Amino acid sequence: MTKIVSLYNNKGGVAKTTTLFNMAVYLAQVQEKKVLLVDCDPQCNCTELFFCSADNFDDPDLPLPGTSIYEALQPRFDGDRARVDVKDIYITPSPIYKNLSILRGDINFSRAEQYFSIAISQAVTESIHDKNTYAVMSRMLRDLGALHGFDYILCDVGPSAGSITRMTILSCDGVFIPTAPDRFSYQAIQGMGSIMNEWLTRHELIIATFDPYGIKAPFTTPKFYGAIVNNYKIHRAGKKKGSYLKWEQLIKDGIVNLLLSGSGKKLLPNQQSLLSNPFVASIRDVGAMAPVAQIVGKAIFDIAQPDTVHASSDGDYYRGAVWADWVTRMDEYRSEIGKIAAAME
Amino acid sequence: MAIPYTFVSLLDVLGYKNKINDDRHNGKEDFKQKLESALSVLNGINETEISYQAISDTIIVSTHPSTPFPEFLRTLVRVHRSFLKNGLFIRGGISFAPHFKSGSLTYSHALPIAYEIEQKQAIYPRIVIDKNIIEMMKPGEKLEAATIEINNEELICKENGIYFLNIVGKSSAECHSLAKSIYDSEKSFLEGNEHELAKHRWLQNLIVALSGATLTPYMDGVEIFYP
Repeated sequence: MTKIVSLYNNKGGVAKTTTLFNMAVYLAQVQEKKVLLVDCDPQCNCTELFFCSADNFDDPDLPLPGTSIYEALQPRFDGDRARVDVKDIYITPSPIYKNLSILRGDINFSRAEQYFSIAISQAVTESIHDKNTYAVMSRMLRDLGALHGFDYILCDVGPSAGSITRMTILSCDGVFIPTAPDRFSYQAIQGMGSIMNEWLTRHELIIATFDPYGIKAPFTTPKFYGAIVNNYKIHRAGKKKGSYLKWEQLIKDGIVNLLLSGSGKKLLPNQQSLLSNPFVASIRDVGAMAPVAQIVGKAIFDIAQPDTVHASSDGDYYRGAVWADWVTRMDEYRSEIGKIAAAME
Repeated sequence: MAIPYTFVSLLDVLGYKNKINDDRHNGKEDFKQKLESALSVLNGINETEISYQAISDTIIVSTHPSTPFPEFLRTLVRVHRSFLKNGLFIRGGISFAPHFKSGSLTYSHALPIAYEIEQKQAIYPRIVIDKNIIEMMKPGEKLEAATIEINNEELICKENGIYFLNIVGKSSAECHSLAKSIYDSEKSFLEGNEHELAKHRWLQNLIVALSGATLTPYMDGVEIFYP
């Protein structure tokens, strides 16, 4: 059975796409799972990262291969079909990673905001069209998973509380919340509890109306898989700087008290231990490794020594102690991504 | 207990006010007798499957949740023809939504939908089917199986994106005769009354079209005026 997962924070800059891409490579490469990335963000950053390792990626005359998410869903938006036939969707294998494919993003997918927005508003009524549009994302992901035998479908979403993101998150089995140890992430966590509650409350209301119309609701209720703290910096002694620890504690309290606990809270933790410690991974600032990984289109933990030529100023790749430090940092990073993967089991 | 979802039709007797006024001014109950006669077609129905209420110019027909949809459509065809036989036009809407009736209490999400369809889409003497019900006939949807009977019996017509009940069926000659009779009886009232005339013309065109052009129009056409 395919597990559908996303990373969500309506705040930007918390490494959603980077972490998701690295999770996908980890699951496909290290755990040899069959993985599909779905780029649900009209910014298409995940698609860019996925394809940039291809030799001909920079040729502007070559269109990206495969079906885009907007093309896949368009028959439903146009009202031509009750549901999308996933046999018509061509997903694209990774240029460099076995077991990893993508349903690529599309800048035009931003048009789906209005379709999903209307569906969220009208699907509770007798409108079959809007019920089918409300269900289309979840149906498509689950049908793709069944058709191709994916172990995991990882959905990249934009930093918003808009209707595309909402329908994607509601289509998932679980969601991680990536954060950064700063005031703005704490601010975002404070608002996320009411957003998720509102989404899940209306979701329950809407899917309860499906059965009388003979529509099978293709949803599970998304659970909280854990939070991830990103981009912290450490002292030379190897300890997290105190200022980061203070924000981390506030965010932890915010997740536990505002998102998961209290009467009427709809987002349930996947494991009870998350109520006492919601963080499943703690990822140190990756410094120059991130831009190099973006140049070569690889996972951060999979940068090869020759790839560091892109980081050096003298045109040579890193050697000796400098490269050894990169290897240590990559091992640390892989280990944290492994913890995220373990939290999905 | 959750309110059951059922098919509901709200039907409106056209020209009700004028017909009541005729009875009042003439000291008669002709219209009442026509209404009773038209509604008598529902006397023999199985009330465990289909029930109805008639209040003033409105008739509400609803199904039990297990009643097959084609059976509901056939019942409404009989109702519509019965009104034609009694010289009356009706129009209405059909919807599918929660509908609850117990004693004198009716609570319904379906009725306002059917009413809106009757008011905004039906216009002519026809019973319009909510597009959501048409959506439910698509492959894999709730009414997919019902489409076999609906297709075989040609129960639904479509025009300009509006789906409505085929009241003509294989009885085009009978419908032609009934509609002509109503037109002839109202001809003097219709003179100069384009709004009402349009209803007759629409019904005439429907019957002629569905007869495969074996029947001819019975209404006066356009002619050159020579002063």
